[in-house]
Amino acid sequence: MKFGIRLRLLLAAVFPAIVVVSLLLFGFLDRHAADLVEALRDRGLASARQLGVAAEFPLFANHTEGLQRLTDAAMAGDRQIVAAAIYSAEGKSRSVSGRFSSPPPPLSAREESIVGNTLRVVVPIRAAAPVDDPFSDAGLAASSGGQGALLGYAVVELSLEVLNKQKRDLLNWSFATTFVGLLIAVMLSTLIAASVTRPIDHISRVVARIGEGELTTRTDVGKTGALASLARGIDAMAAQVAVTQDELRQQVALATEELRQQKEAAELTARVDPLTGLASRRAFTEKAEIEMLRSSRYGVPLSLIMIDLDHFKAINDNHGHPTGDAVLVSFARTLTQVVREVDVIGRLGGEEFAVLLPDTGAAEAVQAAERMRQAVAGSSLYVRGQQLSYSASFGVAAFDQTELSLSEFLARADAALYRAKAEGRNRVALADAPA
Amino acid sequence: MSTEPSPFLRRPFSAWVFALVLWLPGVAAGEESLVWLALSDRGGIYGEAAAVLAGEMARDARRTELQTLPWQEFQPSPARLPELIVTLGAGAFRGMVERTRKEPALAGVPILAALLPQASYEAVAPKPPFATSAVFLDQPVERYLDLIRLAMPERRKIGILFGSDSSTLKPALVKAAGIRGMQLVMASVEEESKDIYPALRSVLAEADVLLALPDRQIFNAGTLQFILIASYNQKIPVVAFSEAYVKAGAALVLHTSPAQAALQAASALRSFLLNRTLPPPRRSTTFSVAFNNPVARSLGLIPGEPDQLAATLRRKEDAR
Repeated sequence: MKFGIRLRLLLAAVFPAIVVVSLLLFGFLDRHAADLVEALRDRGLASARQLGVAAEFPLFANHTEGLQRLTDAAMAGDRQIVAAAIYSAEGKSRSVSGRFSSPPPPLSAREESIVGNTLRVVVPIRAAAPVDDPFSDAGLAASSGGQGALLGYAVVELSLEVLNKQKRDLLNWSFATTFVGLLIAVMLSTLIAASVTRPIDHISRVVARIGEGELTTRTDVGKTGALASLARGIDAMAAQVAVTQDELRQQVALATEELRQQKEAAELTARVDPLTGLASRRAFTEKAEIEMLRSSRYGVPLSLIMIDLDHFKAINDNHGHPTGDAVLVSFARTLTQVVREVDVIGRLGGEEFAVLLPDTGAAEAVQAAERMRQAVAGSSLYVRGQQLSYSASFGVAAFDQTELSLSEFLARADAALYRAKAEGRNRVALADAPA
Repeated sequence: MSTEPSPFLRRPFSAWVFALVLWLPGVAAGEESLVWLALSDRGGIYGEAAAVLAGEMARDARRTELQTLPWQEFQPSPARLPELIVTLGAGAFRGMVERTRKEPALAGVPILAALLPQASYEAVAPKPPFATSAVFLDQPVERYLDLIRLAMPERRKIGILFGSDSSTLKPALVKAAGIRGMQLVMASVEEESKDIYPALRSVLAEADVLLALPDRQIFNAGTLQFILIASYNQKIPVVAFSEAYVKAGAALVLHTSPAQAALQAASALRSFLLNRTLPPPRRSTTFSVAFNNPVARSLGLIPGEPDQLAATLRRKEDAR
């Protein structure tokens, strides 16, 4: 990634430069090459014209030595001229100096042509026509458009070698300059790119560490350079994340504690009857089942007393529910005072109570029930300045190991209670052994 | 410039009466004679000659409508065709001969050629029944010899190059030179040969003056400059036939000026309008003399005033 960003930044800086430089370079070379050829052509034309003017009279006089001297002089005067020649109007060679790269084609008008590695320039030699001469009128119209009579041609061939060398030199120079320039550009842009990539590297590492959970990691101000504001932002973000996580943890602990307390309270509520503080039906049932198992396993006796307040409905109706509740609380306190520590009292619902008596046989249980009946009948409570007495009926059952369930055990005690009620209330009845 | 009396004025009275009779029907019909004046070129010597000719014709009592244009630009109208075409210059003559051959409307229109050398006329002029005539620029050969004798009496060896146009002049020249006690150094250039230099060299080796006679094979745009240079290098003056040669470097020239040629053409035109017949071709009757002063002086010639020389020459001819 580091290399990727650097390369991209480099390309962003150098690629347009390469395109622009290339266009300029080729445009310049093309134009310059055209200028060079144009200059050489002008030079060739000038040489050929000069040769032509000088050759007029020797050509007329058929002075071969004179013509030869002229072409030799033309060659000596310019190193780039590799061959010079004079031709008659009929195209016959009158004098040749140097070597032509190829035999000249039929000569007609002025022309310049590039043959292989040479530039050939052909210039017609014309004699000036006399002006306003009625005697030359006919001759003029017959000859070439009033330009004067054609005497011959001057042909000059110039070497393009020097030109090509100039072109090559220019090309090499251009490429070298471009290369050096681009190298400098690359170095500069690498330096400039580093000012961006180095902070990015640093910030990337910090972000990665934060991502791994090191929320306390922070950027180094000295290394963030141009991206200082981004780094500050990332620091702030990490700090915020850390704070949020602490708060969250605290809140979770609080909620968990609350939940635990609620759970404990709920459990307590389920096992204790809120009004009387006695075991709830559920707690009593669990205890009773445990005791039934113990009794079965170890063969120890176990008894159960079912209790129901007499005429409780009448108390509720006559004195109101608060009084009913007060009676229930008083009744529970009375029972608690007369039972043993190991005995379990439970409120099974409404005015119905039960007492579990471990290690107690039927006879002892009846005695305990009788004690309870007397204590209840002897107790009283004041309601709005009025003494209120009440009584209860007791059904006693002794556990039999053939009994498979608590409900059967309870049902037998309940049946005994029913009999006590039926026999006139405020008494104790013992249940029969199971059939 | 010559002021020789026009042949027109020298006509006998009976001719005037005859001309009047011929002319009367035209006057009765209210028509002017239409004459085309066709030029080789719009300006230069042709324009100058045309102006002189037009001015001369305007002086006549008899009205002649003269349309002046370069020869290519005439548009013949079937309603009114020219009675005569006067051409100024060899090019105009050649062009108009061609047109009368090709354009039915112009067929049979007579042509009077002026301001052209005899050789150019003869090369193109059709055979009868085509009616053509001419006023040539060429001078009689005797006149050249007389001029040389007047202007440079000590030079008696006259060098002459003959080509196909000028070879016919040889007998007349030989005769005239004999009469005047002059020696001719002659060389002929073969008809097809373009290389005149060997002949020129042989002539310049012996002659002390070079007489140039109109000949397109020898004196043309391709040779003139070099003949003048070669002669000058040998200190031999060139006597030539066209004013243009003076500008090019000939020492002395005997020529017919455009105005002179125009006047001679005007005279022939008047003759045609009177007689409805073209006079026969004639050589120049009038002439001028011109020098190239620097060239003449450097060759040791002191010819005097050109006009004076021409006048002396004319007096000699008249006296003969």
